[in-house]
Amino acid sequence: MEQLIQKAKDLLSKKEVDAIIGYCATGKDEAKPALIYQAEDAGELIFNDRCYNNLAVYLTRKDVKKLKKIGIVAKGCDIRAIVNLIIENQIDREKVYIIGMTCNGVVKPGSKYASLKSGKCDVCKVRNPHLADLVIGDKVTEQVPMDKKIKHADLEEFEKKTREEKWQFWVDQLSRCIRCNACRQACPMCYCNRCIVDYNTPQWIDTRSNPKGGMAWNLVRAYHLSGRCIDCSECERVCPVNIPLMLLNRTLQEEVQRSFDFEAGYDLEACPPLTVFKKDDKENFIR
Amino acid sequence: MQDNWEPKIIAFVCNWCTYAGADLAGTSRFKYASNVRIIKTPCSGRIDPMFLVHTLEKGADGVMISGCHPNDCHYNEGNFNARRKYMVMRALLTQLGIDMERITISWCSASEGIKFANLVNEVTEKIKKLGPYKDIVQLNKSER
Repeated sequence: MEQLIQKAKDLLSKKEVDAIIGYCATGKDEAKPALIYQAEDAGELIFNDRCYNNLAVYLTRKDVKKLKKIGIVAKGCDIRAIVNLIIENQIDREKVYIIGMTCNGVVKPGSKYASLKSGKCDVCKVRNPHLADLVIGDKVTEQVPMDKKIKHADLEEFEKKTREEKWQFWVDQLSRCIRCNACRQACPMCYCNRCIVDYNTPQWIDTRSNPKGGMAWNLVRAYHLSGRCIDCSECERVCPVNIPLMLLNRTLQEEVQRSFDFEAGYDLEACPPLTVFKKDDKENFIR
Repeated sequence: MQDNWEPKIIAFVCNWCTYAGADLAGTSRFKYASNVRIIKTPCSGRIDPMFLVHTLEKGADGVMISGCHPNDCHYNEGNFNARRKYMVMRALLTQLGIDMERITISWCSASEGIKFANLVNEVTEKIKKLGPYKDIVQLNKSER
């Protein structure tokens, strides 16, 4: 942590970056995002296993985009988001200084016990940052090798259900959606200036918080994240009614991996899979 | 279910191949079920997955999507992009528990009038057996 604070001070005092996005303490054994502009404030920065927020979401904010160069404290999963933002031309690689943190997994949000790792950490392949200007922390052992295909346990369990059970499950879950749009705000990939739900001519998605609106919104949200979701689980974490949104996102992650052999957020040279095609894409349902 | 119930099927077809194919079916006097309502789009790449959900939401019992065969697209690559979109969309809708039996995707060229007519008949028969699709329509009615 001293190394992080020292580096942040250095960067800010030498004017190498205009601000640093990092974590600071809340005083309640939790961490919250902090935007640091002055070198003397750098002492507030912390990093521990409760830093679960994905800070990449702030990189596409208007006031942050105006800055010349921005530093960001990022775990491997946050760096996946940054990589995706770069390949989608939302930020310039030169404009971000990535302070990569090695990470042994973060605590399940809201839980008191440090041994309970968050669900996203089970399939994490980037405990050591894969793209960073500076890596802080000792090298940790990767639990999943990079070339291994991910398989989510919760998804495997869910797929055993019949079609009717699945439909009933989602009607029950998505009917509880209060349409607060927290999932959209917390998602580093949801950066559209105007979201499809805000359009009213034509209005594709009912804006009321009824079962129909909840279904349509969550469907389109998951669809728009296909091949882009980097499995940071922020949407699920911020959901005030605890809808298991990652089940939908992970379905599409696995489908994209199976069909297009692509995983988001690892390769700076890659193209987003739904903007390109292969002439011999394999499907088995078109007649 | 009433005895005289007839399914409503919406077909989104591309302007260049399937619409011309449907036209050929008409001019060749092939008989096909009148349950299908054809909506012409510029390209199969234009058919947003949202169309599909919206159609079922509004009370259609089945949806057909049809475009040019791969390599035959008027815009060269529209149907390749469409194919990727449908692959992802299909995975999502299956996971949500939407009845994929009711959604038929096909490639049908301008010379395949008979294929189009047969496909419409086949889909109509299938939907008739499945009965009206109420899952999504019921969502409209239920408030929380």
